[in-house]
Amino acid sequence: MAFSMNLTIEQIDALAPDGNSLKAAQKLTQPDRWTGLGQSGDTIWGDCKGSASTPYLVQAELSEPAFKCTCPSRKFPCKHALGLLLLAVHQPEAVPQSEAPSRVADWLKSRAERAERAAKRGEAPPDPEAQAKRAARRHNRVLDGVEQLNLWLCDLVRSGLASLQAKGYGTWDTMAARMVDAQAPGLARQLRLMAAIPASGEGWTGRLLERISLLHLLLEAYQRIDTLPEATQADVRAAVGIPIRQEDILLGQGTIDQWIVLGRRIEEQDDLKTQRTWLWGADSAQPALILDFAYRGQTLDTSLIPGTAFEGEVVFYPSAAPLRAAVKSRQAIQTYSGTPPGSISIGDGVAAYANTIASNPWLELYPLAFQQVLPLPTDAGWVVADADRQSVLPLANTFSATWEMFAISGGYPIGLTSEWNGSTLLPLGLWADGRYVAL
Amino acid sequence: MSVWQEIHDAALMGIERRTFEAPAAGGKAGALIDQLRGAEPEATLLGAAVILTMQRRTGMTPAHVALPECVPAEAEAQPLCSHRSAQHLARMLRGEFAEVLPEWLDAAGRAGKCVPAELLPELLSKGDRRQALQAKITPVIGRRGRWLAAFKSEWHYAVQSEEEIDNWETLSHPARVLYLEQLRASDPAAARALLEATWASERAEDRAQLLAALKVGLGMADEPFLEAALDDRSRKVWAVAVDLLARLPASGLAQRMIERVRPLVTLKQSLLQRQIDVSLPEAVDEQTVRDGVIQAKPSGRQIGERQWWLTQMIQLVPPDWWCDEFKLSPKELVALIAKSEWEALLAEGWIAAVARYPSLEWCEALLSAFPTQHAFLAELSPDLRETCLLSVLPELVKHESALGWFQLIAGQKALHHLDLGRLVLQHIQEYIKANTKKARKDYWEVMALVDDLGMVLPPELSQEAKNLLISKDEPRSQADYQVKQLIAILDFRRIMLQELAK
Repeated sequence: MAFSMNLTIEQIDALAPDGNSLKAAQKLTQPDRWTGLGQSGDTIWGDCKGSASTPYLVQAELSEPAFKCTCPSRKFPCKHALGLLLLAVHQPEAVPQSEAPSRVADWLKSRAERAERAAKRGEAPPDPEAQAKRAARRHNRVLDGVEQLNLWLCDLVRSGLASLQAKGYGTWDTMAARMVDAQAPGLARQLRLMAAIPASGEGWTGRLLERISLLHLLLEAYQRIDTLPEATQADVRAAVGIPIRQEDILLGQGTIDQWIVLGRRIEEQDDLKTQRTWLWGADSAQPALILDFAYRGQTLDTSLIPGTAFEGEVVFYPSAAPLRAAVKSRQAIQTYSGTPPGSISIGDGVAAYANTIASNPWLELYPLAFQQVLPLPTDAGWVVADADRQSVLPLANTFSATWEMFAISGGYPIGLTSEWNGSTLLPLGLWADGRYVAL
Repeated sequence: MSVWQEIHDAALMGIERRTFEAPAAGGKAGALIDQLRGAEPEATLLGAAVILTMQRRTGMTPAHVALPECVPAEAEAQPLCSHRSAQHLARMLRGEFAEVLPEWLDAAGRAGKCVPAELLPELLSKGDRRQALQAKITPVIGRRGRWLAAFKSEWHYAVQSEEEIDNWETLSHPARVLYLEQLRASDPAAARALLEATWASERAEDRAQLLAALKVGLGMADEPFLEAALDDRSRKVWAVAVDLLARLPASGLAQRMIERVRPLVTLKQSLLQRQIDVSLPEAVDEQTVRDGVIQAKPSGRQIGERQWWLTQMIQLVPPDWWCDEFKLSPKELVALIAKSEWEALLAEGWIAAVARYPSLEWCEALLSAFPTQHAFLAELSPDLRETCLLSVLPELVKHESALGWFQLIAGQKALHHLDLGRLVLQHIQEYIKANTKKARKDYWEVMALVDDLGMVLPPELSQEAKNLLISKDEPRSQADYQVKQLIAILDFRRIMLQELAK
């Protein structure tokens, strides 16, 4: 029986990756170039004599379609596969019905298995047993790492912090790598941050001791994690670096509000870009942090534009002081021109921060937004002051747009949004005369 | 010693060789620390440290610092430039079309607009790095800019108070020069009187610049004062006086110079031809030196001493006198000296003279004959300059090398005459066409000048330039890049000027 080909010349044409491939394929339609031709069902195969000493083994499966060829070409489908198809269309009698050789049968079998696995993943609900097994495995590895790190920290305390200045980054790097192996990237990150402190100038010993003590607290907490309240368990896991799938978060219930986009900051480390977008819920008067990641050439989602607002539902990640969130659904963004969001006084803002870290001691960054502050140059550096010039907070000395901010303020109070790390402010944007300017 | 200090010192030295006991502390922190007793010493230390750390962080209150007085800026009196104009400025400050910045600043200043606050720091810093821009920057920074400039010493050049000019004697020197020039435009006599009054007490350097202000509204009424200035101690003042007097054909200096030159340069007419006859002066006396002829030859110049004297004399004679004396037009005179041994000497003299005493006929004649010596064009009024170029260019293109006339145009200040611009564009197009198949010599030097022309040609012609120079049908020529640059600059200038004029 002749091979019932559904493919037409036009369709083969459409499959070709470029015009040259088709032209080249047309030269390969002489049957005398081919040996071992055969077909069965939707599958077709043959060996094509090429420039190499052994012929290329070509096969095609036509329902997807899928192709396989042993030639070195990177094009897909290659000219041999196209040639095979053309030959079958032009001269079907040259391609007799026969049993598939083992290479074709194996290929078909592995394709079927892969398809089955993919289908299972899509259809079946996540297997709680398998998930629990994975989680348990991970927990054990992390626990190992935690115990190791704890011993290491205690060693450090025994020999004294003064001994660190002589050592280089090496000690920290090795330990950080071990934490990555233990599937605890959050701990690795902490170690990297601490590695830079001995070289950070006066007062480094105090700063380092603070961080070491907080890390020690985290390690102790992880070792007793089941005894902690659930919300704190989530914070401990997040600080250690155990990921939660965003898809799972989005299944939960969120807060519906008008969300103002306070600002956005992108940081890059080792090929990985991290984007922090800070939101403020107008009615609920609470902040939210949207985290976005891009590796190497990937692009970040830039649809949340600072200075705009949107009506939408935002779901918070579990935490004793919920901050990180994901946008579940939203309407189109609009320019925001209401009163600048944020605290009335610097004291209020700092108090909100204090409350938050009291619940989650490992929080690194908190958004501080103020309705009216004055940026001012002082002998000790730039600060922002309350409108009544009573309290001040220092600006980070890495902030480069101080003069632009000052020029826009003209000596008058402005609305300001920023990131607070416990000691310095890094501005994100300002509101002046109803206009938002990203800094 | 505070509890934290105790813990900190222990951690610093290490607790291997010393025992560590949980320190006694008061309050909630103390109670928590007490709970640590009995644990391993390292855990006790780190536990106490974290308790105190959290206490400090959660109890943190903002600092109270003595703040400097900061008077806020006044409301702006000038209108802000449009958002689009601000974007143009931002691009230029970042480096794109940076050469157009002075033109933008001038146009914004004329339109009375000021720049938005967020661009002030960069603009002010630019003025600190490039002094020549400062005079253009100060009119467009507005009150906000002057307020801001007071905060940083590099920007202090922009902090000018709009002082009322009530007393001439108390003004700063640059301000007085400016004031004098402005007064000369409306009341030359009053300005001169002002200068004469304080003349004796001025410093030498200041005197030269103040005297130069008399160039505005120069007239015979100034002659006595200028004549007296010829005896000034300062060489600079003397030079200015000579230059100004040479611009007044009826002045004593000009008349005296004419009498000196009359016997030296004569016209010989025979039946067949006319020629110029030159005899060099034997010597220069004191009067001649006073009248502007420098005795010593400038070092490095290949010229005979007596020739040096003669050419200087010719530079001080009003050009039209030659026409009257020899009854010939400028064109005829220039043609007359061609190929003569005295050509260079007379040309140098006439070219310098014509810069002082502009006349269209003379300019055309000299430019046609000596296109490379076009520096004198810069002294002329824009109108005169462009009229001259318009009439001279067609002939020039035929006889001169392309590099020659390209350099002439590229060296000009921005042109306004559209017809002149169109003529130049046409010639560019013809040149490119002629060189598409095979580039003649000098081609790359010429093409390198093409994007300079973007700053010279009138920006209104940007669309015409596009139509003329970019053709989709013709094959890509090697000139593509430069032509694209030229059109890009013209377009940008046109758009930014249009936006500022709104």
